[in-house]
Amino acid sequence: MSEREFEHYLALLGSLLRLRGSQRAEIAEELRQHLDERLADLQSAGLSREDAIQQALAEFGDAAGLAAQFSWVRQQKYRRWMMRAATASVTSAFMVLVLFLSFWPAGGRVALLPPMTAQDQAGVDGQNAEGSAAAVVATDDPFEGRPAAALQIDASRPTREAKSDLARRRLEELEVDSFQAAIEQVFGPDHELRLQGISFSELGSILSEVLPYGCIVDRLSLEDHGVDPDAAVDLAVARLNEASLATILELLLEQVDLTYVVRDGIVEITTEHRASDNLSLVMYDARAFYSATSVHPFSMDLVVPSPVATSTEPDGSATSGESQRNAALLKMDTQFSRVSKLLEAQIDPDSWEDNGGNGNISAVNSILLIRQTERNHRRLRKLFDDLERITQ
Amino acid sequence: MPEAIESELLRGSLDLMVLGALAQGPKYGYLLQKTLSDSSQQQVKLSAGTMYPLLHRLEDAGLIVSRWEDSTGRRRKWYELTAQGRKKLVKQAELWQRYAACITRLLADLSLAPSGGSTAPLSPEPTP
Repeated sequence: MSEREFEHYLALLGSLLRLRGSQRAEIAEELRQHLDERLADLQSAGLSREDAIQQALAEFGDAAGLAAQFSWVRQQKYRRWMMRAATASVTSAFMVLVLFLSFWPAGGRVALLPPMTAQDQAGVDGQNAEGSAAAVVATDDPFEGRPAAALQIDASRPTREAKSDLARRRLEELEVDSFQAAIEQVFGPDHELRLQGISFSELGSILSEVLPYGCIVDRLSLEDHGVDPDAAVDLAVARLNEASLATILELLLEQVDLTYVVRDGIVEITTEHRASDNLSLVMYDARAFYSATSVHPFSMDLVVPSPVATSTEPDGSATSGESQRNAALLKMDTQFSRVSKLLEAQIDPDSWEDNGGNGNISAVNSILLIRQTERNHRRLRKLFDDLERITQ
Repeated sequence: MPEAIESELLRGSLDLMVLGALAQGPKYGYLLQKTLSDSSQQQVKLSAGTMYPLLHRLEDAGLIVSRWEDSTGRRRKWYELTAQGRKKLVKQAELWQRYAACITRLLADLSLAPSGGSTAPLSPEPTP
């Protein structure tokens, strides 16, 4: 009987615990404290150190049994979350699927990939870049009049940005209404989505298991914000018709001033404050906006002088074209300031430069360049989407 | 010294015992184990292998909270009752009293109480 047996027991227990590192370390430390105290007590009662070790370990029971008990507790917890996340496991399975598809960067490519090395990763990125570039052309071309169409502008990492943007859009586009109809039949209309008895760091790990690029929790920011990432939370949102999963996640996090951002496909749970430091520039096709205001100032022939005008009035054409263009530009300016005022009033007013925030809007013809936080971009997309739906 | 209580009988009431012991103030695992053992005249011997998973389960259920502390000179994980835990304790204790009274009456009718010694198969979970 030796000192080593003590260590061996704890090591064995640790390896048997089917838990993540931090949890495992914490349980092991707690048990070590207990064994230490027991050992001290037994020794002061007159037992030799070796006998004390033997007795303390015997009282503990076998490591495998103990580990199984702890793992069971955690499993139950995980299961409970899965159940509560959407009241029914079938819903959560759906959510998981939606998340999986939503964040998967390249469309239907959902083949199971083995763990990738950096090199493999680069290779896959290359493939995906092609795939997503094609997808961008097909579905995200801002010039096809899709208001939600948005391309991230980041010269250093254009394809990855476009890819994560695509992932984000897919998340938002997937709506659960048909599924909700089924849920409603089963659970009645009062069903709510609940996050209970689980901490944000655990939420992160659970999401990590289903998201291709994982989910991380910005622990430092959460702690600075006074949110313990390891404390269990109880958050709920009423089920919203036609709410996308992104919206649900956002509404859950919003209750404690948290939000999520998507960077290179990785979902990061962070504070709103922190997210407001990370602005991204996104282009929006504002034509639907302008047509909604019933005046459509931008047609190509206003910007490019018409050949008819130049041929019939060779001398005055420049002036006439110029004034025509000036009028158009003036009109465009008015329209732009009207639209930007409207957007600033509708979307998180305090976040814009005019009101002391960091966000701003500029325009190139009918394309709006908006620098905003992820969350406000999501809101903007929603607004543009809705607008398009109405004006169509 | 009375003999240790059968584990079968113990199982259903362990949560209640642990919550009850924690109602007197925060405790770390080892202290909790000793408290239960001492206050039951060594009749309740809760093994660490049962107690710690139980504590974690109660914590997950929001009935107790834990925190690490070094203030006593030794780094220990202290457990404390939450408001929710206190509510649950009051409710469970009341249930338990009713259950115990019911069993006592029943056994008295059979002239088996109070000398005891009955090994009637009892369900470990008190059902109201």
